[in-house]
Amino acid sequence: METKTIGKITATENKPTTYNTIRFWLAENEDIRIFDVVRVRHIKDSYTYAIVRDLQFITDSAGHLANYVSSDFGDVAATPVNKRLGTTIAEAEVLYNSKDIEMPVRDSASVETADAEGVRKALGLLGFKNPIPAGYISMSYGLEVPIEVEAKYLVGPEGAHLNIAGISGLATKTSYAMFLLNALQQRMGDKASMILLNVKGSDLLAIDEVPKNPLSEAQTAEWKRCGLEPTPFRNAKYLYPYAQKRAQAMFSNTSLANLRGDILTKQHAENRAFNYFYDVETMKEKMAMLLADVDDPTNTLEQMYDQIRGIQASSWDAFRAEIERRTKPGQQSGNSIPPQSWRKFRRFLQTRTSNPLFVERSLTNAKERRQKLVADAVRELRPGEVLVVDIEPLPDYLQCLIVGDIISTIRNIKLGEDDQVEPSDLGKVIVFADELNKYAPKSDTGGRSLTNVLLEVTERGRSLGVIMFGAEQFRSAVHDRILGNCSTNAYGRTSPVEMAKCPDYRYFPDSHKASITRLEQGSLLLQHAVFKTHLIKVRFPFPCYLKEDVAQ
Amino acid sequence: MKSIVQVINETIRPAGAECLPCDRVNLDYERYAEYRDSDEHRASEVFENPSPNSRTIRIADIGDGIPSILCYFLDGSRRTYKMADLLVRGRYLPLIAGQVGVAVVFRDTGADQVKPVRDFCSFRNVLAFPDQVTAPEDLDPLSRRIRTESRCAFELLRYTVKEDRDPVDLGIAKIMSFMANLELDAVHRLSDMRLLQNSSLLVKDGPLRYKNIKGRGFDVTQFRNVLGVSKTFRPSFTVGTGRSKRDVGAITAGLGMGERTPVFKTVEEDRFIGMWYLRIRPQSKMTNPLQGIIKVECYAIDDREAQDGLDAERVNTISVHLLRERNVTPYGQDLRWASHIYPVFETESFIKASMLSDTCFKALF
Repeated sequence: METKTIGKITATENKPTTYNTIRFWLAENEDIRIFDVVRVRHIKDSYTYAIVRDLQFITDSAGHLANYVSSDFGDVAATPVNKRLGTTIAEAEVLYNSKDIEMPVRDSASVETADAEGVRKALGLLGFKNPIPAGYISMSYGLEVPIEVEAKYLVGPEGAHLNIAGISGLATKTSYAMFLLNALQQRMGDKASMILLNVKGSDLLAIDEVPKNPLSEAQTAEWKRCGLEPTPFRNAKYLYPYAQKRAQAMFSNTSLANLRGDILTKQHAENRAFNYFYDVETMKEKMAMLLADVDDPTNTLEQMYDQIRGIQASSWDAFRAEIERRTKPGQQSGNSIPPQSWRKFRRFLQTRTSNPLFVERSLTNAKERRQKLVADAVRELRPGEVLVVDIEPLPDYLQCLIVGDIISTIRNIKLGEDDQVEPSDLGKVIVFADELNKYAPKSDTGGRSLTNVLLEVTERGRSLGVIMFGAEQFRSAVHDRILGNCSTNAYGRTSPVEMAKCPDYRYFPDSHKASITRLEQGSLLLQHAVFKTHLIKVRFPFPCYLKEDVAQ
Repeated sequence: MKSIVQVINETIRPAGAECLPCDRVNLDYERYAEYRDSDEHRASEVFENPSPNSRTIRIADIGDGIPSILCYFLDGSRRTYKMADLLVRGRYLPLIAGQVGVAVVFRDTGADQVKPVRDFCSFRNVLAFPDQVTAPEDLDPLSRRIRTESRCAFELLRYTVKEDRDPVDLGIAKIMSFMANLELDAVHRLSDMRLLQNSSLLVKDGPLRYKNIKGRGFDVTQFRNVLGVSKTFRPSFTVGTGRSKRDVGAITAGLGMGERTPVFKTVEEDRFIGMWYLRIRPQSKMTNPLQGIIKVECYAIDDREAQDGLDAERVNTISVHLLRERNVTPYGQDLRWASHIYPVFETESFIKASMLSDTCFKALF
């Protein structure tokens, strides 16, 4: 694309050009946007590239009163013959100079539309060993430049984890995460496995199916522009919550209002769908995760978990009976846990294990019931595979249990504490969890076992190869240390209230804040460790897996 | 590279003169005036055909859609400085330097903003020497030397020292005269190129007070479509004769919004000029009765006009277009905002923005 001059640098006594900031006036009829990249002719035949941060239209009017006077002292019908002298002044952040010159650009230097190669250099996108497509930037002057992130900063070992924040309903958080995961599968298929948690309707329950309506040419072109094929995920397996519903639901608790029977049947036929459950033996080890949200200031629950591990029970009925026994006075065998604590635990147990998920492994119809422990499903995961775990039908505390179970299983495998799987068998494991605030809330100051597991994963995960892709509506609701460990952050549309509440937005320029409140579908602001600017506005392609028409 | 003072000294010392340093000061802050009316001649008679019956004439409005006939705007501006003192034969006389700019801007029909017409814009640096220091034939060689050795382009002028006048004023007057000649040259060239027509008039900031340019005669017909519009005027200036003799201030104080006075005749050298006053802002919003009034001047071109006065219909047409220029205003930026024509203000801004800053200019010396 040809470059053209669109304005000239203006450096004044009060607002000089600096190493970091330039300002330029725009020629009449030029139309640029925030986040456009421009280049400026600089000394020694070099070009300085800068990203537009703000736009202002200024006039020579001394004040509002001058404009009022200029309309015949407040006559709204007055039509002045003269247009006031005015121009648009753009402020831009310097990114890069083609000859490494750090001197401020000169007054009156020509400002031009940028070239693709220069933009990529300016943003720090060149020299990646393993680039992962992350969307593209679209300039107002027609230039579109693919954006990549460096794999070693996205999935370790140099940096890891992605966080996406933004209000729901604008098809951005999940769509972007799925795009990035698709890109990872296409580029790193043999090195990474993925676990996706479905928390909303049928969003992720047919990710290996082609969309009902084929992508349009423009949508396909977006994928190509990013250097990717517009194909659904490959090697996807699904885990649904077990239930005793034989008929259409095929022993899963997944709402048939969310998932079409024929899709489920196909997944079963291809041996790609299973129903997860918790038997007593498994659950005894994971009781802490079931009660992760219960305050335990005296560590009574911790002591109970120790005792529970020693309970011999072959069924949930037997287990509950044993707990019931301990609630009776005089039934304790020399331990210090009083009956009233066991009664409290019993109440929790009754309410939290009433879900059909908590059953014994069925010995009949095993092939139809397709029961599988979550931990086993994780152990069977191999690089290139995607495991979708549907937790949408479950209440919050059970969702936390499943997430905790998955993460701790992966952690144990990666730490070599699982004797069934070698750490290298899984490759890098990327876990995508929406509503991260539920699992690692900001208000948690310690003690919640799930939060602790997530903290450990985000802090050590980049070296272990456990990568969190988290999303939430409000960053302000997520634990600071989780966010702080993310080397890539995406900011979707959000409200001014959230920006006022969340300190992460505090250092954004006002124009970026304004931009965040009006981001359109399919675009967000991306921050990545190796970008040479804090934020880039990226667009990403339309999802190319079956999302609509998945429900009955 | 040598400073200009160095070059001057090397040139004039052999003749026994010397260029001495002084506090370099900008002379405009204290002495600046848009123009002086002092050399205006009396306007004794109404100069309008047909002669109006009233002392105030209301201008009929025209529709918004009608394009303006005021297309070109001309202004001249200068900054003057006392840069050094010249010691010659016992006299201690100032060396006056100046930056002079003359610009013409064009407003196309339907265009949002005016654009400078580069071919008619001139920016010059000048140095005014007292005539006792330099002979006329010295100027060109000295100018060339300054250009070569100081790498600055200056035009050199001579002002005549008069015993009863402040030499600083004389130096400034010389520079003003130089600027007026640049303005006049621009008008001549615009006219030569037939850019000025009945439907595209030139508005010149200030009164029409031009003298002949040396080597080029003053052809008044080239001023057919040129208006001089002044923001200020002397209210004690007298018009009329006999019982109808009145000061301009007394007449204009009674002008309502959109009203003009009759055209009065005045004479500049041997040329007749018609001038009238037009209120372009409501008096109720003004701080004094003279605020918001402009003075318009136009040459009488042919014999008929010289004899009968300016055509009243044309005067009214010009007036209505000038009235429409009242918006937008440089309110808050210029004390004379109420009488300022915005494109002229823009022209002035363009010239000033094109000049070197005082610091830079002084540093040349």
